[in-house]
Amino acid sequence: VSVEAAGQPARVGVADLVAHRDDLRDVRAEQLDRGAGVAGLVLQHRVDRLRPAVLRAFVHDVVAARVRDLRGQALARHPVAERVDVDVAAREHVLVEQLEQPLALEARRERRRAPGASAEKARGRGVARGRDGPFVPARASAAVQLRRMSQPDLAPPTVEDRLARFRAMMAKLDATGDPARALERELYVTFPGAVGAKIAGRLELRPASTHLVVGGVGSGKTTELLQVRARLSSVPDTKAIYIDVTRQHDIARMGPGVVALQAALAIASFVTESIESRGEPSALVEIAATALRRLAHGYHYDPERDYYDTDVAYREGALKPPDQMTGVSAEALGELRPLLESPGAAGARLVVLLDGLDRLSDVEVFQQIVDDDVNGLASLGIGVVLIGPLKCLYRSERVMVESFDYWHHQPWRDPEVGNAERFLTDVVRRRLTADELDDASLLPLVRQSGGVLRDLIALAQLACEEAYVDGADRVGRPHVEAAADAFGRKHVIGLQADEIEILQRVRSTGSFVQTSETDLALLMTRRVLEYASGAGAASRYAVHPTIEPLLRQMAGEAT
Amino acid sequence: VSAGPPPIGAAELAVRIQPLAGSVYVALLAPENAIAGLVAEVVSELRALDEGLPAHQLSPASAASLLHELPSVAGGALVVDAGEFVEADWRVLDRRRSDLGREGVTVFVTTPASFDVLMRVAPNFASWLGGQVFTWDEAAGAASPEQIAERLASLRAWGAPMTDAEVIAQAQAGTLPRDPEYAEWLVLLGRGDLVS
Repeated sequence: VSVEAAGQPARVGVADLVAHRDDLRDVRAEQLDRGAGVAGLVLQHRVDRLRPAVLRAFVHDVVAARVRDLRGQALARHPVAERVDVDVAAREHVLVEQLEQPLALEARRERRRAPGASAEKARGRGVARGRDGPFVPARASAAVQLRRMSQPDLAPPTVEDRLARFRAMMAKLDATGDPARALERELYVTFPGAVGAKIAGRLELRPASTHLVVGGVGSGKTTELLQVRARLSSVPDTKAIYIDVTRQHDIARMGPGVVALQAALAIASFVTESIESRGEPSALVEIAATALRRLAHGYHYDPERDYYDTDVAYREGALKPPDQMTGVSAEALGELRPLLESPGAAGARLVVLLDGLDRLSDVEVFQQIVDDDVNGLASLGIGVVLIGPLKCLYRSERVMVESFDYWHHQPWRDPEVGNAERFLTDVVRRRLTADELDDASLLPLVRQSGGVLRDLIALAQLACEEAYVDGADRVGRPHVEAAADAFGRKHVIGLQADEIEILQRVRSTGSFVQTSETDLALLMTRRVLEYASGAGAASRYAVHPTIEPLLRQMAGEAT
Repeated sequence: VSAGPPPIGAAELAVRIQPLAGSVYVALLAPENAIAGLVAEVVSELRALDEGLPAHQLSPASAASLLHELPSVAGGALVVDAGEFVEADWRVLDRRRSDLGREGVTVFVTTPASFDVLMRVAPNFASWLGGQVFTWDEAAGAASPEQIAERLASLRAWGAPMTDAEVIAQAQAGTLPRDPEYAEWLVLLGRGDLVS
């Protein structure tokens, strides 16, 4: 092996690098870039702006990333890891230097590691550091890592780049992302008797049935709706169409007809595509689809020209049949009829899955939508699954559920009940392994979520963040506790005195009666959690676990 | 309750945001007169941390304006000056949260009073924030001289018999091992410029 002239790459083996260190050193001396590092200046800038623990984690990540870049530069030119190209024009001198004495370096680390720490930890994954614990190097040095990468007979390197590792963890904890993506990534965990499975089963038997789904914010209603779609997609003669009704229309201006129109537009797209795929264009379908698009989005016309002017006047009749629809609902459903009778829809059992109406605050408007749009769609043989406001379950509004063939409550999962606890831990474990979140932290995390799925994922995400800035390699109990504390502090913001009084009562007695708007607001915002206890049994109420310590503090009790 | 959201400085917030992936929403509460400067500071911190991570800022007059401008903002971090958002704005975001969906971290910088309103009128949007709510505190991130001295002592014990002067000399000579601990040592000695 020989090193070529400066500026020319030379291919050498790892052992050769050590053997020829002097030659390489000479080359390095000529090529060494001694300019100040940008990364270093950024680090220096932060020395008085970050807490020591955060600074420590940050410095380690910056250096780790730099080593990764250098290693990447070297290995990119070499297909197999046991050899390294040395490009003297690049900055790989650092690697060469560190390759010179890996065994000595590792031996030195072994001597310095904390008493009681296992050799495996010291060499590979690093020794866990408590916030205030003794300082111990967190991971094997770059040199040791590189040597491992360079020699296939040694164990593969551990993940050195914490930032990349934590980013990968965070990507699995997207509490507010598109639920469809979570399903695609197989992060969905089936709960026995899940609402989605129940609805899909009913629709398989009665495709034209109507279903109302209600549940708290973040309980997984949309995910269940998407599960219905996924399951029905495997039923040959059934087509389930998901529609977020807030996408195309401001829910503050929601009224009868808007939902039917959106459903009709979606069905028109399906029928048109179906006809086109068969190569059987239909003028009737195109006319109906155009009429629906005009109804939805408006159109230009000549106001001076009246196509319907026949010089014959019409006087409206005095009798108004109770089931007669008027306005947009009637028009939309009228245009839908020829579409359903066309070859494009022949033999298809259509189901529309309507999401977003849980954000509707006016229950009277919701009732109108049910009366006109939902019943209208059902009268055409279309199955409807609708997510509605939680209010429908309480007080006089409860009568609304009777308008549907079936109604379903998507409840919180009581983390103190066996199968729910297993379900919730499975949800976490599907996203984070025991190497990422230790076993001892799993149950506390689940308990702190109160069984609210979105909160569970959000807490896990926040705990990961705490671990990251703490310089830890995995999430532990202190990180879960810090996450729960931060969550609780946010969750009490905005509470009024009367609400705090109710929360204190729920906390101390478990007693809660939904009578006022304030009571309902506490349920809606997940400060009070209602756990269904099974058929006929009374519900259990509790305050969200993250705010319980704060309520104790407010009451002057020891936490 | 006396305890508000955890205090945080702009630099630490940027470090926290860095590993977040997917659609994440964060709220940073600050006095009204500090918000505009803080938005710019967080953006510059994010850009300094990772040049490859796009960091944008918006100062919309209303939530409707924000939703109008949002489609033109690429992925990556977005810091929004929401200091003047009132009840109607939070209600709009609550109703139209689907339109707010974007790939990347979105930080809403607003006042405690405005956030208080958010928590009362926008339960859906509030649930998106999870626990990612912080109170800006300029001094929250500062390490005290005692803390720095304590950490340096740990590093010296770890690196013995190497001294401060030898660490600096080796760094200048380009012979200092690339262990993160040495970089931290240099930074705490005020010689972060030698980390390359």
